[in-house]
Amino acid sequence: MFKFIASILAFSSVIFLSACGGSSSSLSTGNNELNLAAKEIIDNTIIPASNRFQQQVSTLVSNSSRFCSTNNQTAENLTAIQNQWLDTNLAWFELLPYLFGPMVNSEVLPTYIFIDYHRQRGDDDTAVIRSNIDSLIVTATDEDYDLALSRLGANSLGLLALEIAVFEDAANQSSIAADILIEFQNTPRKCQLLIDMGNKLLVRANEVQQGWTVNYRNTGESYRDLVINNQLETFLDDDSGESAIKKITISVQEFYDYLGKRNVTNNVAQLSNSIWAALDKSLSSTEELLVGTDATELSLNRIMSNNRFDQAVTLLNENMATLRAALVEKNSIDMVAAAKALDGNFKREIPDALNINLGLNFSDGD
Amino acid sequence: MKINASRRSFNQALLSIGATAPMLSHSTWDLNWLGLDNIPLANEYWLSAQGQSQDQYGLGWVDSRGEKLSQVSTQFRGHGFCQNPKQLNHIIMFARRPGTEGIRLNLSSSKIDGAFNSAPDRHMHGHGCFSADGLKLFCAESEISTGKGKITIRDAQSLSLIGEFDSYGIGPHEIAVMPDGNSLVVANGGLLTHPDSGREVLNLNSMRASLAYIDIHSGELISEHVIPEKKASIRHLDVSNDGTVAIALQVQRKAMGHNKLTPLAAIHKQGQEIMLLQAPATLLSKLNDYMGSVKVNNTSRIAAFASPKGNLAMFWHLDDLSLQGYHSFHDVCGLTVSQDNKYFVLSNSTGKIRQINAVTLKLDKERSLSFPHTRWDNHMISVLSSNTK
Repeated sequence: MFKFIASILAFSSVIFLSACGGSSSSLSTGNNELNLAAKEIIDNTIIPASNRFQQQVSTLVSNSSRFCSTNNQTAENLTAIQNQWLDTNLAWFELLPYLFGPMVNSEVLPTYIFIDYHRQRGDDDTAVIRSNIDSLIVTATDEDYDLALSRLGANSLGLLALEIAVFEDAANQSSIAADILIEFQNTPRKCQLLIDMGNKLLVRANEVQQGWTVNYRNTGESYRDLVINNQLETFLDDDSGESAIKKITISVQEFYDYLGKRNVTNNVAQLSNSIWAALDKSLSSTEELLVGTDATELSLNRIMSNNRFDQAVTLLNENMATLRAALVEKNSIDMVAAAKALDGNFKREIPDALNINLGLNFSDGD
Repeated sequence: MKINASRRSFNQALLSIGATAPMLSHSTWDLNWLGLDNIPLANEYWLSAQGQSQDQYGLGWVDSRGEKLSQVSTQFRGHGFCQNPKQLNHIIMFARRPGTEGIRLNLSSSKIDGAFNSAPDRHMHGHGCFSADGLKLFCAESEISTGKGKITIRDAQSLSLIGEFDSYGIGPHEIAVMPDGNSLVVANGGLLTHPDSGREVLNLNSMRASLAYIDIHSGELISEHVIPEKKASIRHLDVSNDGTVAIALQVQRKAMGHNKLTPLAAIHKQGQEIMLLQAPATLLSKLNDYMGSVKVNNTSRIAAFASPKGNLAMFWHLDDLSLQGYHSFHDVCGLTVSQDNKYFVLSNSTGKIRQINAVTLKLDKERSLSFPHTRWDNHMISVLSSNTK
């Protein structure tokens, strides 16, 4: 039992404490409640989002293969691919707030950067990708093509590369469907590239989904089980060591930090003109995180209310409503402001209301 | 000479084990270098500022077995530490900037037996060090009215102010005595702050960080070194026993006007320019422009750097400058080396302590400790003692 064995005395007094166990909090939330809430978020929100993203990528790949097969390069099929890319990207933004565990896998080569390079530091690599596509689709031999494809880095792959491939033609960056279609019809390498880049994305989507549900980093255990059962540090030497609820809270906070800090509405999903719908998916996912689903027994909002932090719940609802209004109005300035407010909520109000400690404030200059 | 002084001091320490309570700071001596690598773990203590609010702030310490966690209340948030090389039971903790307080813990009694404040028109920056003879305590401070960096000098016994000299920069942060005992190395962060505006940086556009070597006796500038990225603040350092200085940086991103990554770790060897330590962009990106502490292992010649904002510790070799490894650890910042030199000891703000083998850089899980209600702060120091209350 962790408790003081001597009370804090005056200046220069000393206290002795033992390691581990217990809680000094006056709030009612216990680890069991938080663990249950985290388990339900993982089971009802994160894993379903991971499954949906994998399924959408898989469908994108199969649609691409069908489109590229003989006599199938029609306007209708191009539209189907474009729509499938939109659905895939929406599914990604539903999952994107949960950037930990199987979304990362490796600190040096995190899985997510092969899906969404912009998420890392807000870099817009549209020009790089265009240049690479230009080069790849004119390669003379299969060997040259394979070599060039193998050399594509994370910033040249993922959803943005596929968006550029299906929403514009490489020759003139035309977004007219007829131009795009003609290029696919006349340039077999572009179809080959579409399929290959889709398959590379599918590998990453599989990694995420399989990591959550089957086998995380060759442990033979799903990340779900490892994180819920607090076994990550047992199985892995390099887990950062937070509980499931902390990982979730920090990850969503970092997502809103990303929205507030990076120029998302002007850099992401531009050719498809779908960034606002994508951000709406992230917001809906956040609402679900807090409110729960029909299958939820204990939501975070309920825990916060039980802890008499109704004001925090109200504040969150207000800030999410503000964000939704900004998304509806497609107002970047208001979107950034609302995202920053939510970033702060996930840093302060939510941890306080849940009685979880996310760490110290190591600010510049320390 | 340093070698003789160190041997004498260490012999004194050995003689005292089991008697009073001498402690050996790892920042001062290297046990392997002295040919002694089997110091009982029971004698080893790790000290750090800890706590998350005014009423919790204190100086905490734990034995390396994790059997006893102790704390003295301080009422202020502490930051860096130093140990008197001649009175090994005397440990100084400095207030986090822009604090004005320092305390001396006597580990033999587990009590604070001395305290000091900055002089009027001065505030501290959280770090200091003792002279090699243990007679003087140097503190990194600033002159509030001018913003000039100062190295104040206190009598190590009375802790009274006996002098000061320029730091030759703004915002001196971590300082250390070089192995020759005759010079100080100072990390001038370059960031101007004022207590009236808290921790707000007032000179982002004109900031100038430097690594300054200063004659410890005369206060004269010996040499000054800068790094190409002008918005990188040189804040923390550690010195190897051959005088190589490992440097941790913090980038003022909002003043940079671009989003390009810049290294956050560097090495300075005498007679050379500062050399930046390279790492994959994905790791650098994860650090969020912030490296919070650095510690050198003199046996493996590896320098460890910790970034709480990146939840990452990184390890570079002092000689070939290659990245040796990294370790994910939530909110890691406290960093020291075990007395047997075999481990880097890492602490975090959720009370956890991990030990990383200093050669293989693998986590030794059996040695991990957890104190859930402790909030280990920025820095940790390893000391050796045989008898503490």
